[in-house]
Amino acid sequence: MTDIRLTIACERLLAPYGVDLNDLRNTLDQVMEHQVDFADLYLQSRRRESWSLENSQVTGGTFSVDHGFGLRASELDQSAFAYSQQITREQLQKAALSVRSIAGKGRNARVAIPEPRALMHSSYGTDDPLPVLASAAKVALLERIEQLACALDPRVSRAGATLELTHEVMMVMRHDGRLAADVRPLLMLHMWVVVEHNGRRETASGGMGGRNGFEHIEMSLVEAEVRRVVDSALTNLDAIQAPSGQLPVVLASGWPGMLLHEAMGHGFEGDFNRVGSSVYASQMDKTVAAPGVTIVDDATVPGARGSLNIDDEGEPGQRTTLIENGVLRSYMHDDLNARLMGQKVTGNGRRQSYAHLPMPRMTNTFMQPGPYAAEEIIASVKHGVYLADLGSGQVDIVSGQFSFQSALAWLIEDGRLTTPIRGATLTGSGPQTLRQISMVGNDLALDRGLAICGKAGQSVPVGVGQPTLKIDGLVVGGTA
Amino acid sequence: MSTSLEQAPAQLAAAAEQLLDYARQSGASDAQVLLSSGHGLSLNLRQGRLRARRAEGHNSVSLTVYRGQRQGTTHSTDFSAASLADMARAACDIAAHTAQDHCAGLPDASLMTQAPLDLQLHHPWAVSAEEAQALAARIEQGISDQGPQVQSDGAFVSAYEACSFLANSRGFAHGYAQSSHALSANALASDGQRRHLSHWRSHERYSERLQMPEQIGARAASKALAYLDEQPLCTGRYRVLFDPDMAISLLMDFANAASGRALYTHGSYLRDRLGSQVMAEHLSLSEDPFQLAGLGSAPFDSDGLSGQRRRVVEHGQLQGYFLSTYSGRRLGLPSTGNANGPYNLSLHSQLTRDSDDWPAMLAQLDRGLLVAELAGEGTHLINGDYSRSAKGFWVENGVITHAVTGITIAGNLNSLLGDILAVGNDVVTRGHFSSGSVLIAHMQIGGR
Repeated sequence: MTDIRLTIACERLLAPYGVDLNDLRNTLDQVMEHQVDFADLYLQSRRRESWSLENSQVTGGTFSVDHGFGLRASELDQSAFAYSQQITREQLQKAALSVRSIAGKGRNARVAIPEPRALMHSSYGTDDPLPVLASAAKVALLERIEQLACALDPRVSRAGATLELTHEVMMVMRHDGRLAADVRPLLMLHMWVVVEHNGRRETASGGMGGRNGFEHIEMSLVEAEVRRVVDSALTNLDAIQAPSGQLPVVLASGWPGMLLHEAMGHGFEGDFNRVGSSVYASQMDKTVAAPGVTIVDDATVPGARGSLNIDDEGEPGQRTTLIENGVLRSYMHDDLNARLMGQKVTGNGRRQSYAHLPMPRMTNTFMQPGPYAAEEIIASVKHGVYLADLGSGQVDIVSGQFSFQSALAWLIEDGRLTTPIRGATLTGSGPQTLRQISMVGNDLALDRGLAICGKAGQSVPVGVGQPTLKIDGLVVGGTA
Repeated sequence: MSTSLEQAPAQLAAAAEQLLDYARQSGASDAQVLLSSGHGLSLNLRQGRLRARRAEGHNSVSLTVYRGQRQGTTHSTDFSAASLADMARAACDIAAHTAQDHCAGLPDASLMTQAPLDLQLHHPWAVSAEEAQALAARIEQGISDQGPQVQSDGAFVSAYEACSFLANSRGFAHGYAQSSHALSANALASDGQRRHLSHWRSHERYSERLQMPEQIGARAASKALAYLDEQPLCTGRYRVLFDPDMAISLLMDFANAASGRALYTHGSYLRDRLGSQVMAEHLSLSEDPFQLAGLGSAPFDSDGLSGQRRRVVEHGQLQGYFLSTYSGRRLGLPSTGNANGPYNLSLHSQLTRDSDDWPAMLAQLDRGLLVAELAGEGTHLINGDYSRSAKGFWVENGVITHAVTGITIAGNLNSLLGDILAVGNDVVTRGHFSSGSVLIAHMQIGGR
């Protein structure tokens, strides 16, 4: 057993509870005594530390530990699931008896001795971000952010910041003997400001994060981000009412890539396509986007928030081309949906925790760069909206209707950014929007590493990105 | 479900006492513990196939320690003695690094609930996996009975019960059990060109009060079918009726704006607005923590304080906020016993008459947009700016003519609530909130 991650996982998930790999194998054996097609046992431990500053003081400090296992048995498309927060032989056996009733009795399959899979690549280290520096350094970072924000402009009335460090260890054993483990650090630094002037109040937020430790935070980047957040909030103090109705929209590079995540990403997830509820079901190898549009899902971006060495089913994280020059090339799959659709797994089987069933989820999803400079794209618009920063987004995958909220935006008049406009919701149809991408910039950027994706009640960290884009028409929900 | 919850209160009380002891030994001057343990069953059927059957089981323990006015918090899922001792040490370590916060600390013992009321919140539902699957099949039958253009995209059954226990170093030690059961349906309507997904849910503490499964399926299906007849709408300013579910979304936004954290971080337009006009004069918003078996009922909050039966808004004027002990101290106000948010809230208008049913509200709208679905986090609590994507129906002469999708509605929450002309008596309760449909003078709609 040479994989360092598997060694850490055994030390953390099994040894403290007097359980070993044989107990896991016996649990799966018990499940497979019924006519089950597939079973897996997932164990996870997650430790999280967070510090938050508000009202000039770090008054909140929290430490959480959560561990447990989840056992799944499937027969064709049907699944039974049980989980427990106690990793004990007794609970494992109880779970096995509960889930195997999904299928009838009458098989006597034994699970093979697990062969650990060698990890092909690694997109992040195994460092535990929690104990690296003393708590005092973490507190000092947050204090520095607040001081910086307040010193930048007298109109800054409040500032706050939260630092969250997570160390997750997971291990999964499958009925056919596959055994895999991963160690996943995750860091998130979030900051917000409130600005007030002449009775008007605005707010802005930002931050940074990724799969690395506290020592990777660079103070110069933190300072630049504080300036950006303060500038955004101050700009919004002068914002006028947003227009309403259909307009051409230019989206900045980076975080606005959330548009792709919502407008098409969820529609390419295997589960929705297998049951036919996605607008993209039966569109494989057909043109679904404008020429020049290439979109990938890439779990191998070093240190990115959505990166995975292996997914939660033990499949190596990989780069999958979803749309190639406008043509749909692949869905994103977990094991169950790939198997039932007769397609390749893509390493997108993810789950919020041991207490949740895996499903197809995005990792880092972004559009490849095109030929245009951002200035050229803006200059091509006579009357429209430029979105520099977004809030959150949503999609209805059945109709393809998506929406998102602007956080920082300007009017474009005669090819120039003129007046900032207030926050508004924008909405459009995913399939139509993909065809209305008329210019793609050369400035691909990923987001700052703060994105959380929610689906069917489960949240997972993801990454998004894009170059500057022009969309010929979205509905802008202003009041003017 | 098994009956293991019967022993839970005693076990939780014992663990709470042990954890408070560890906290004292680790140097805490005060401490508070919240434990909960629950279990249940949930099941998702789609077109007769079992997508997932889950045996739910959940434990959690949270500890907050105070060293003077410095605090530290730890959460865990492990009730073992060794883990509890670790939690106490870690919390005290954190408290060594946090700053003095003059608002931190337990409430005064005299304010804590002395004899918690039995609000009849616990009604276990011993539904087996087979019975739950049969109920889900009836929900799906209710969908397919609505015709060939609509099919099930999922029927859901869940039964859950949990016990929680709160204890602190000033002598509070009480727990209570509660249950929560739900049936819901996702219906997908399609005419070959257009497709629409709609959802309907029934959620209660008593399983006996859940709507009939066939009815839940039928409601989701008829909602989805109604959207197939869709036409574009031109951008403009129109009269708007929010159906009761969407009216409730406005109340949720308002409750968020009136909540402690948004106020003390200067993040709410309702800051410094006590006593001022925040809704139209004919409106009031009442809160009742003690409604028997209510989904928004609780005998005490996570500080050990009870809420109050009160008017949060009366004659359109703001009478109170939703405050915890901590947020109250930050604002110089007493706690309202709302550390866990609002209890049962309902909107009333002096103008509502018995005859103001759903058709009467459509007649009052006369010509305009009926808002039936909203998406997006488009309410800016800091200034009330409101902009959301919407779906609904166009109404002419008080009659629905066709569906409208892909639009936005925009305004300002403060002026929307001030512009409410009428509230229907077509009251719906969702979780903590109850409201009839709400008629608003005009909003800006973004469309074609």
